Amino acid sequence: MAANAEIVVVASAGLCTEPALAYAPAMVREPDDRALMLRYQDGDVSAFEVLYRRHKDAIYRYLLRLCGHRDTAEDIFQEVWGKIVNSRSSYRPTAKFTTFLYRVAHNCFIDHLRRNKRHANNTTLEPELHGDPGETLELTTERSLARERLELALKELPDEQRDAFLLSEEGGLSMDQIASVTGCNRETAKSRVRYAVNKLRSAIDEPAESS
Amino acid sequence: MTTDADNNDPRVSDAYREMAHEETPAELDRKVLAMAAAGARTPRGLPRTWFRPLAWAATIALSFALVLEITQVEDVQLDQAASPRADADLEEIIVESPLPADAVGKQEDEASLQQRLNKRSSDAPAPESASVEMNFAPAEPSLLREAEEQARMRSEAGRAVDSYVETKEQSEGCGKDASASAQTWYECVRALRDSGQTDLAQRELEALLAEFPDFREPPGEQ
Repeated sequence: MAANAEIVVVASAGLCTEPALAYAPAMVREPDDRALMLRYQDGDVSAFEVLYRRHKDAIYRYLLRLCGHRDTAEDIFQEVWGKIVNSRSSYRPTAKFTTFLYRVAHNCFIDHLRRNKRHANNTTLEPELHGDPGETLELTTERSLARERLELALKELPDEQRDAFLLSEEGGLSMDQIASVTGCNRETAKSRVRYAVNKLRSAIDEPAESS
Repeated sequence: MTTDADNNDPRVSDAYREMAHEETPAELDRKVLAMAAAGARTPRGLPRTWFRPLAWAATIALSFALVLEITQVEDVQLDQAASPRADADLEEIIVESPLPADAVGKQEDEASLQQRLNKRSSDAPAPESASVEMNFAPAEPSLLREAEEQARMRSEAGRAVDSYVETKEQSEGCGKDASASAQTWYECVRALRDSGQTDLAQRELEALLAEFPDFREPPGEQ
């Protein structure tokens, strides 16, 4: 257990494919995403399991925040992984796997929007209260309110800005990768992320300014 | 110029991390993993690692076979050009024979008639209207044998030509213009007789009589 504790994997599994090691034992090295996908190409289901567990939560959150609807996000989530499974024979390890994965997810979401023109941003995500037992009620409430404000601000962002921000936060994609996934140029991707971050920052700072 | 890092605000990232901690439902995990396992079981053809070398090998093999085939064809053509062929023999015979293809038709020249008569001489007794060569043959038996031998050789060599001539003759006749009336048709028949095409003339006459039953051939010309 103590040895495991030395390995601090970055909180978001999607942020990077390599584990960040506080103390790095030389022999511990997780296989690369592309290598895992190639192993799955050759019929190794366990490789896919590793790959899936590495990215599933980040993709899920990305779709959840993008759709704002749990059931829809789950449907698209299944569709995304179905496409990954089906594309295993044609997969080429030319680009980073996360870029490939988020491009599929992005396209599935766009397809969903086209199929359901009346897609409304009526989110059904319930704000969850996660307070530490030792926290005071006031602090818990303040945290909860901050989350709600951020959630609301994120929901109110234009689709492109929200998409770019989520790709950056959940997928850990660089600006070039975001541009590649969303089909725009690098500067556009960068400005979308910048606008999104500025708006979210304003939302977080709102109570401090008002007080 | 801004960098990627300029776009990230740690406070926003932390706040987002604090907010976003949803995990995939277990049921969804089960479905996706079952789908992946099913996908791995389905055959997907040749492994990718083999596909490209195999494609290259097939391309090279086909190209080599094609080049080999072309080379062999050229060799055969060169050989055929160097050595006489059966077709060339026949062409030479046709050239030698006094029967130009264009001349076969309505106006057979004398040489054509000669050849036809030679052919008949090998199959049947020579007709009275034989060529000059045949006229003196009975007087000289050796010359006659020589002429017969020559005729036989010619008839064998020129069988294709004769066949062509006969086919041509059969296909030709008096035509629609001539058969428009009994008179013109008969004139055509007479012309055929005059040119020595008696068989064809006879057939045309029969056709004429079948078409015009009332027609009577002038006396003395039958």
